[in-house]
Amino acid sequence: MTNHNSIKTKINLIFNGASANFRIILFILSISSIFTYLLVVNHLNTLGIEMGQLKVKIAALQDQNRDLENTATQLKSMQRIEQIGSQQLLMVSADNYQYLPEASTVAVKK
Amino acid sequence: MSRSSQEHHGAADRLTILSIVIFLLAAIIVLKLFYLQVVDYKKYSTLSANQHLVKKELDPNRGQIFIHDYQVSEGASYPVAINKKYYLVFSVPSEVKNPRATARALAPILAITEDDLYARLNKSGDVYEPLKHKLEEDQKKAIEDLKLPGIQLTEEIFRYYPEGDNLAQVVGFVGYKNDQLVGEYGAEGYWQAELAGQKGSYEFERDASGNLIPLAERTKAAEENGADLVLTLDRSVQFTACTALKKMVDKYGAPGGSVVIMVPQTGAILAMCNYPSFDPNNYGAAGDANVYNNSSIFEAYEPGSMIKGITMAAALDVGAVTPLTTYDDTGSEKIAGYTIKNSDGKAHGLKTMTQVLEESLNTGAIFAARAIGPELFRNYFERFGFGQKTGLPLNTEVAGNIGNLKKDKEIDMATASFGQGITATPLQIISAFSAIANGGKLMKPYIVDEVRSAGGKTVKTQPQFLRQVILPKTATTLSAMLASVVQYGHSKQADVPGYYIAGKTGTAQVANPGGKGYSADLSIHSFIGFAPIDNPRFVMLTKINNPKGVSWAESTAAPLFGEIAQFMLNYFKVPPDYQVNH
Repeated sequence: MTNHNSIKTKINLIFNGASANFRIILFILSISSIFTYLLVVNHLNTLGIEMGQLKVKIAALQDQNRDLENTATQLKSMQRIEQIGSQQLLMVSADNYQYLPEASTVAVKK
Repeated sequence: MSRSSQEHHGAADRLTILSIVIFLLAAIIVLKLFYLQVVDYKKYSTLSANQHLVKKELDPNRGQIFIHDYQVSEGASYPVAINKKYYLVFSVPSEVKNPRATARALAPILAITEDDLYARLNKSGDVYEPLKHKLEEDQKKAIEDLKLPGIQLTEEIFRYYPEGDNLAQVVGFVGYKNDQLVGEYGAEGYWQAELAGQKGSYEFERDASGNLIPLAERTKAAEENGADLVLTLDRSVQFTACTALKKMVDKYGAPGGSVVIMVPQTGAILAMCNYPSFDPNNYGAAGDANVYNNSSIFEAYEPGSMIKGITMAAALDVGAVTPLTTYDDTGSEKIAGYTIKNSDGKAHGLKTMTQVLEESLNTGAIFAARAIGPELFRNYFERFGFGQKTGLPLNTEVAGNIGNLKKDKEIDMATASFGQGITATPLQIISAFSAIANGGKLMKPYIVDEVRSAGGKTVKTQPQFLRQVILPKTATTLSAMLASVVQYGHSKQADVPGYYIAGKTGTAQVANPGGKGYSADLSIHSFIGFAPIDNPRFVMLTKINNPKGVSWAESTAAPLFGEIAQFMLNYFKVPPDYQVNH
């Protein structure tokens, strides 16, 4: 009877020990899960903010690109080219030209 | 009753009264709650939503309009309607410390009088006073440098047309209609829905201080940007045509004119220019709103002798005449009690059909028309597209009028045979002659080459064959006859040395406004032609309205054609048909 009781006590002790270990492991896992969750959420938030900033940058660059293209378009306008050609560079249109045959040798005189 | 009993009753009464009061108060509260939450639920729910829900409209970018730039490369395009960033300068009058000094400093930059500015800056209690829209970058910088308290700037986007008045009537403009910016006239008007795109919306909740609640629900329906249009016009051809037209109109003191150039094999329009025009960047300064209309498609007129080409096409096609068929020109024809004379009033004797075109004889055109009869004559005019809209996708096209021909009367046919009594737009005339240049095949004119949606999908317009109007043989014969007109007839000034060019002048009388008959002073000069005749690269119509000091289109519209044609043949690197000795 005494032997039987001592075995029972030993088993209880083993179980109690295991239960305590399990609780510790569970506690550690819980804590680490919380920290991991916080880290992930924090990281995601940071990425979200970064993404937002990049979107703003993209929009600003697109606006800048549009403005530059518009400036180029204005600079290339026919009226401007005509004005520069005729008034600044004093260009004139060619009034006498000749088509040269493809397969022959030609000499050009000035 | 004992005293204690009386006291007990008194307490009970007070309790009863208190209970009734509490009950009534509770009932009032319940009723009020019922009223608020059931009867007036919608009202308060909306009020609440308005307080914390914010809905913003998201404006799409308006699509741009491009034209081709074949001088650069086959696929190159140039924007002719863009969205440009400007600035709005506004004041917060309550923050302006010295309105007089501020007005003095701003006046020269904004080009507004100092007194006007002062009156607007000196409105005490006003928190927002817009001062001027559409400021350029340099104006914005000049204002910023002044560092004036109460003066602020904000960005705004407006339509900008870099080519100014060169394309105004084709492209149209964006203007205000019921406080909304919408496209009007030309491509901007016709393609408003495609260019404008779809508005989006953004709905979110805000807190008591008006800031967005990050974790609250938000809904976003993205805006859809407008589609871009690529027109068939070529930048250099358009510019050259407009410049030459303006020069010719000014030279003869004419009130206006038009030039249209088309590719006969496809129906694509290379240039469409009208004068006078307007600056779409400042369309309000145009004065007369009629100038917004594209007269190449909006103004139908009696085309005059150019139509002899169509009359001859019909007569040749049915085999009623040949280029060598002769008739005796007595100088006039009597039909239904009317006497119709040649434009010079002279009799020319025996003439061939080719000479009828060369010398532009009205009696010869009547002879050819009579050879086929009114019914066939009308039928050919309808098949050439007269009296019907071409369907060009631009606002304000009209159909012209060939109603007279529907009566099948000889007199109406006779006058129509040399271009009187019927009306047509320049586009209809060029479209009809394109069929002659294209072996008798009538193509549908088009001016929008591509529609590029914001999603990246591109829809390219395919040339549309409408019908075979005349036989290819007839088209070839008539082309040669029309080339003879330029070589030997009344259109020598349309000639480009080295090339065979087909063409016909038209000096049309102008009907008296509101009265019978024709004006003695007014005439519309036109020339229609194509080159080179064996493989036409373009068909062109030039038109000068009521030029002063000249009687015939040979002196106005024909040389204008010649000048632009010379440019075109070089621009498209068309080798000459024959050697010219300089």
